[in-house]
Amino acid sequence: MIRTISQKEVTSVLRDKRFVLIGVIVVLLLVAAVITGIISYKQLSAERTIAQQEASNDFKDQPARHPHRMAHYGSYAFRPKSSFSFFDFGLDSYTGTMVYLEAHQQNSSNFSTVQQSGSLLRFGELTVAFVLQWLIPLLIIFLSFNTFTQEKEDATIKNLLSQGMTVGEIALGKLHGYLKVLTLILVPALLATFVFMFLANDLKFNGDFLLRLALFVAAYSIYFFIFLALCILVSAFNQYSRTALISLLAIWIFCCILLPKITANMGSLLFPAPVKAEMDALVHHAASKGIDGHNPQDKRRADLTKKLLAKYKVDSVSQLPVNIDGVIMAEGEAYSSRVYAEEFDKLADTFRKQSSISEWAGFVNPFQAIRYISMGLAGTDAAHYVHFLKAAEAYRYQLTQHLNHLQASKLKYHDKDTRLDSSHWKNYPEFEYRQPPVTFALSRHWISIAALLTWGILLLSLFRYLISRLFKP
Amino acid sequence: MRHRILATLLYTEWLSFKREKSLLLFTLLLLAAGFYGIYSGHAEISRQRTKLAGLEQLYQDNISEMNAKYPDGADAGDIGYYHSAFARNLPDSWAALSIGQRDANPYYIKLRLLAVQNQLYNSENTNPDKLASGTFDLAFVLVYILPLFIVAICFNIYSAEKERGTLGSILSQPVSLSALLFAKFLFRFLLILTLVIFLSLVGISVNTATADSRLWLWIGGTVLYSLFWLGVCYVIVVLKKNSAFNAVSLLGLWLLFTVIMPVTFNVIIQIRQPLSEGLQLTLKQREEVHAGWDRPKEQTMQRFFTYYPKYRNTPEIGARFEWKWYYAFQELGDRSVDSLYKVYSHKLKSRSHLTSELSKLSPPATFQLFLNALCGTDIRAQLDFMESAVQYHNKLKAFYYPYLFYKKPFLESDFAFEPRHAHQSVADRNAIYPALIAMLIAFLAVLFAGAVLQLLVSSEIR
Repeated sequence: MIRTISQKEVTSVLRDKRFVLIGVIVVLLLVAAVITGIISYKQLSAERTIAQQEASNDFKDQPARHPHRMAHYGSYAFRPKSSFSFFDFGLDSYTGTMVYLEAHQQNSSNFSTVQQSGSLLRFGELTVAFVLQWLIPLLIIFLSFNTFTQEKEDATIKNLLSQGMTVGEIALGKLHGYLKVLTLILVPALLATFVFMFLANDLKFNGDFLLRLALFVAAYSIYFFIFLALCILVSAFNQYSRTALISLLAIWIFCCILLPKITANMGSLLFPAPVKAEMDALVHHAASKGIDGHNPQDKRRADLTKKLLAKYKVDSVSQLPVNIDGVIMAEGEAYSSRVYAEEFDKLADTFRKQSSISEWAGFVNPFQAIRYISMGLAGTDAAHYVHFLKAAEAYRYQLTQHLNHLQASKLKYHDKDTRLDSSHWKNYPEFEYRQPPVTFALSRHWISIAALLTWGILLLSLFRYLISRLFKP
Repeated sequence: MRHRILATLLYTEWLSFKREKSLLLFTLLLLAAGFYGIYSGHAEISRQRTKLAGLEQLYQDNISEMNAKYPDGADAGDIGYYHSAFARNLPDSWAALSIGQRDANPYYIKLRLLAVQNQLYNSENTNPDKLASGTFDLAFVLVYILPLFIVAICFNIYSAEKERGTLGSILSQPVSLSALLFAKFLFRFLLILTLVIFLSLVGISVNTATADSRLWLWIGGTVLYSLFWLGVCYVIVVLKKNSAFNAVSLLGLWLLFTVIMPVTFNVIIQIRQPLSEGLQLTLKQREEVHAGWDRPKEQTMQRFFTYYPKYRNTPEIGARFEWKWYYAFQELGDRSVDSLYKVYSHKLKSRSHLTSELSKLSPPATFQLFLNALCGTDIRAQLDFMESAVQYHNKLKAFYYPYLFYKKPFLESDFAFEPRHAHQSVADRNAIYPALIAMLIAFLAVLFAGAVLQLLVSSEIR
């Protein structure tokens, strides 16, 4: 019996010209999203790879120089596009793309897309994730809002019930049928997506990649199931198709448009972040006066000098076997970088807290749960951005310290004229950013994952119960 | 006679509005969203104002630090290197109503005497997640939610009466269907008018926005935008289909104009006008500045003097290192990317031009640009600020160079004469009227389409 109902839904949906039209529009948008996503991915990716190569080569090709000049010459870190980013741009248009890495200071990451675009960008971006998160739920609403109400309006529901079927069984049949329709639309579209992807990118079939792919499909399947189940429940609860539709559209507007903005705004109002100038002043103060205010830079330098003199048993810095300029510079860099890292962690933590309100909202609003999971898997969320910034800072620190150690070991005290051979820069490893494994994304979004799973499991296990409780003949 | 009928119909609408809970609920929801938008926009701009005011303390602290470090007067070169001043972009009194790009772009720039092109593009600590979600300001309520409200109260104007079975009894009175529809739309228009004027006035007074001619432009633009959406509802309503069809079509049109079109335009802009000059400029500028260390000092100074002939007769560079030589090659680094900088700003402007041209097809996008332009928060306002920051840097150079070239010690008291900067964002007047005209044309277009459809549908019935 359930199978018959399922079959009936599939047939009647496929016969409905309006639905077929909307389905075609959505699939076309999906294809457009894939194509533009790949174009933009290739464009930005090439731009950044070339720029990174240029910056790295510039550094390697420097002639013989004083190491501290090289430390000021510095290098650049460009954020490579994650290979999954074409699927979900996430926050990529809102994050900086390059950081200038130099001695003594941590620079901001600049040239984000949003700063170079007008207000249009704020309306959203055409990506696969946009179609899947926003438009497919609408398609599901349109597909199933009248599934029960139509039967009530035509009084066919009475026939079904009089044949001994329970409401739960009818609902299961409907659920089954609509899932089949969705599969019919989405599977070919997704297959086409992946074909495009393989044609456009030279991706390697490693475990991480396949795992991400599987998790994407699983997460979005749960998301669609949640919407479908909700639609059927609302249709069972309402007496008229009109009211069922209006309720569902209201839910969609609330979930996809209003709530995400409200929670994001609340987050930033509740957890204010310091501006960059304040943070820089704080770092500068702590580095020169000491973290606790009792250990100023001058004293740290004097202590270090005294320690070195005692260690090598000499009585002036010029007799030291190491160049104290470089040692002091390295100590200063270590100290200020430590202070900066602390402040940066606080800032990243504030951002995390700001977003946590939106993540917890996933328990109320499945859209917000899938949004974070999808961005995380694509490597385009805030956590991946922070990961990149930290990698850039770590590289800056190592590079600067490497040059400071060269100064300490190869140059004499107060020597400003000696130039070290160019081989010293030629062989230094370039900045190569490695995206963290999929486990990184999963661990950062356990709230959203829990929220989506809770929704899915609750609806799956309680579906028959809820339907029989909510059903109004 | 006709006026009497219209008055009666409007009164009937008022009675049913009071009776029907959903209309009242939608009205309350719109008001609630409006109040939250006003509050959160106000909170964001207040935060920016507080932070801008706080920069003064950082500036003074830095001066105290300099004075402690150089108690007997300093070499201006050291001050130029270790001291920083701020270029500030003060919000217009209307900014809180439409935050526009003010949350995404830095509203101050920390400047040292060093090459400006290495400082101009520094970005601010902002949570990208918050930026991507966007601000919930009054403009958001008007651009996105107001149309949904209009759709919600208009989609079943005709179909509800028909589905409830009340249409026949009304039309049996001496009232034509068009008069009935007109009265219903007019009633809703008056309701919308009251609500948007009320919300706008609350927003304006909460933020103590200067009540200049922009008050009329704001309200005029909002009314035109509401009329456009009423027109869209009219187009669908005259088709005389059922409520479900109307709801789906209207939401579809909302989605088309408010989401799909802007999103598509955005793709067109990004692909047609890619922008990599920023990256190129930064890379090239560093090469030029650092090459300064290796070039013969005399050559650097001669190039510098072509821009500043008045310093030509100052003492030659004798020492291994002199600040004036250092700042000379910093400035030459800036000048070497001058043409790239011009191309970059030009491209940003032409992007913004293409944006407003394409947006004319989408009234929501046009309306958003209109509100941002009115409140001085669009990309143009940001470009003006950046230009003014460059001018400020020039003033700083003009202030410090004489100390460097005439070997004047920089004293504590000299800080009082250091130029200060505060740029006041202003409305982008050039963008306002074209946007209004575009919205007017859009309104007339839907009105015309609706009228034609009404004729077609009624002739079909006959």
